[in-house]
Amino acid sequence: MMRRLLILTSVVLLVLAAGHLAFHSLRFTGHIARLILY
Amino acid sequence: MEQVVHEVPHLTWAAGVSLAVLVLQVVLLIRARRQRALAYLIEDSARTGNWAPAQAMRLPSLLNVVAAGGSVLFIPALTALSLHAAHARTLNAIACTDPLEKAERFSTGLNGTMGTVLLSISVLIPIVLLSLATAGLFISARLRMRHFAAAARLASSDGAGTYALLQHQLPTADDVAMIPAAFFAFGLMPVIAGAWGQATLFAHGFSALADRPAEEKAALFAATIDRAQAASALCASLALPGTLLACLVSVLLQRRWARTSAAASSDTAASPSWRFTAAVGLPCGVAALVCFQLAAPFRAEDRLPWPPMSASDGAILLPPDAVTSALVGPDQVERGPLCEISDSRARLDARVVELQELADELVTAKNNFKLLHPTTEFRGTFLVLCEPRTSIARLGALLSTAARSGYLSPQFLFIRREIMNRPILGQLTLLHPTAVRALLPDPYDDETGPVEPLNIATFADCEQFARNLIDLRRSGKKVTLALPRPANDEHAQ
Repeated sequence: MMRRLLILTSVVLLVLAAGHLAFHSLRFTGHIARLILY
Repeated sequence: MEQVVHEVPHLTWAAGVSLAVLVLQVVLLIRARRQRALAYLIEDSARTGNWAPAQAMRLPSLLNVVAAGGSVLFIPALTALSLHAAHARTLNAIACTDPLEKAERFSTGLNGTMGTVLLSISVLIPIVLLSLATAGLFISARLRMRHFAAAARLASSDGAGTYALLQHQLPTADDVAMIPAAFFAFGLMPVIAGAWGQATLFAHGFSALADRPAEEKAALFAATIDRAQAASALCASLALPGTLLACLVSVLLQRRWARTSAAASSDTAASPSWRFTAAVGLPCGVAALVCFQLAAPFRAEDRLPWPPMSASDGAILLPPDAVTSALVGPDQVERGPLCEISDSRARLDARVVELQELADELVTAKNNFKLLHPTTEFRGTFLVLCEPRTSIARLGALLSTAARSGYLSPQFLFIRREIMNRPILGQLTLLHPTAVRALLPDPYDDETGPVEPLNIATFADCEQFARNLIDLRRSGKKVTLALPRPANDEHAQ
């Protein structure tokens, strides 16, 4: 059970981290677009 | 998409590699289906007591699964590279002084960004689904083959053990793929939907700027960015509960499989080995840490707010090297030809011109305006960026030239520079323009109030003149400028 839990935790962490990275890098597109205003 | 691929070369590479990964996934899926058919053949034979196929078969290599899963990683890696290249193009535009070149670079950079996001989303979804199907088929086939190979080995010695193995329920391809599919569907899909929504709102918002008045475009542009980012944040906020839901699904599935396995045979319901746990857990954990680390600067950029925009910010494209007096004008910046003047040079829309040439260009601009905006009144507004120490004679020459070309409403601009240090974008100099308006005799002006004549010849330089003009405008007066005699033009040339 412990080993299953370890695998599950690492997969969950990876999904969260991938989503976190994707989300923030996508929002960066908006910041870079804003530069045209200055 | 074709247009974007044409404009941004690295997108062509990204599209080509994505297509190659897609083809690889299809090939692997076909191989996986063959392995599954073979596994079921072995199972059927074993259940009828024919152990020959189970004894003769070779286990399908796990490398197939690694190839199916690993090739998916090409897409985020390509996306990152492609976005990086597109962002670099956009950043290059910042330093451009030529408005046309700046607009072109910005357009190419933003097209590259939008194209990358849409391309990667479009290929990621089918590639992930194909890889899940492939991995599910391969792993279930491998488990089935290994299981019946063990049963074949026991068949001659241990009848009870063989019976237990034959009764054991093995996971199907759907069972194997269900847990990663749950994480993909509930965890990453909201982020992907947010990215899709953001890109779509950007495209929709930017295209909607086309038929709006020029002075509204900057505010609408900023509002489009805010709205698109809010939409993606809303979608992404669903990812956390979605991931927890996927956890719940996987725990429930694990318990169900453990129960069915335990009912058939206690020994095959064992936990995964430590080796397998390490082989899966360590790369996932390391990859997660790398992702968090990579996201840190983007997050810092995201959390640092931008300064609030005034109505004048973004109304016009300012040359980054322009020098003006450190004054704040009371009027809102309007749009018009941008004339820069100093004792050494004159520029019109960032191009160096002689004053006579400037007169011709202004006449052309006026005629073009009337052709392009037949229903809009031509107000004769032109913008003046005057270096503080410019002689008043030189300024007078510029104003006389403009007046003769039909431009009777000068706006003197002052640029406030704000230095910002941003985590990724680095040190940025934000230009905030303000303006003070004056009039040369203007038949179209609808402003009411007392008229204050101001003879510019009484001032020594541009800065002194601008200070007085601002004081008069702040007291609510309409200011008409008295210009020096035309003879001064010679001095200016």
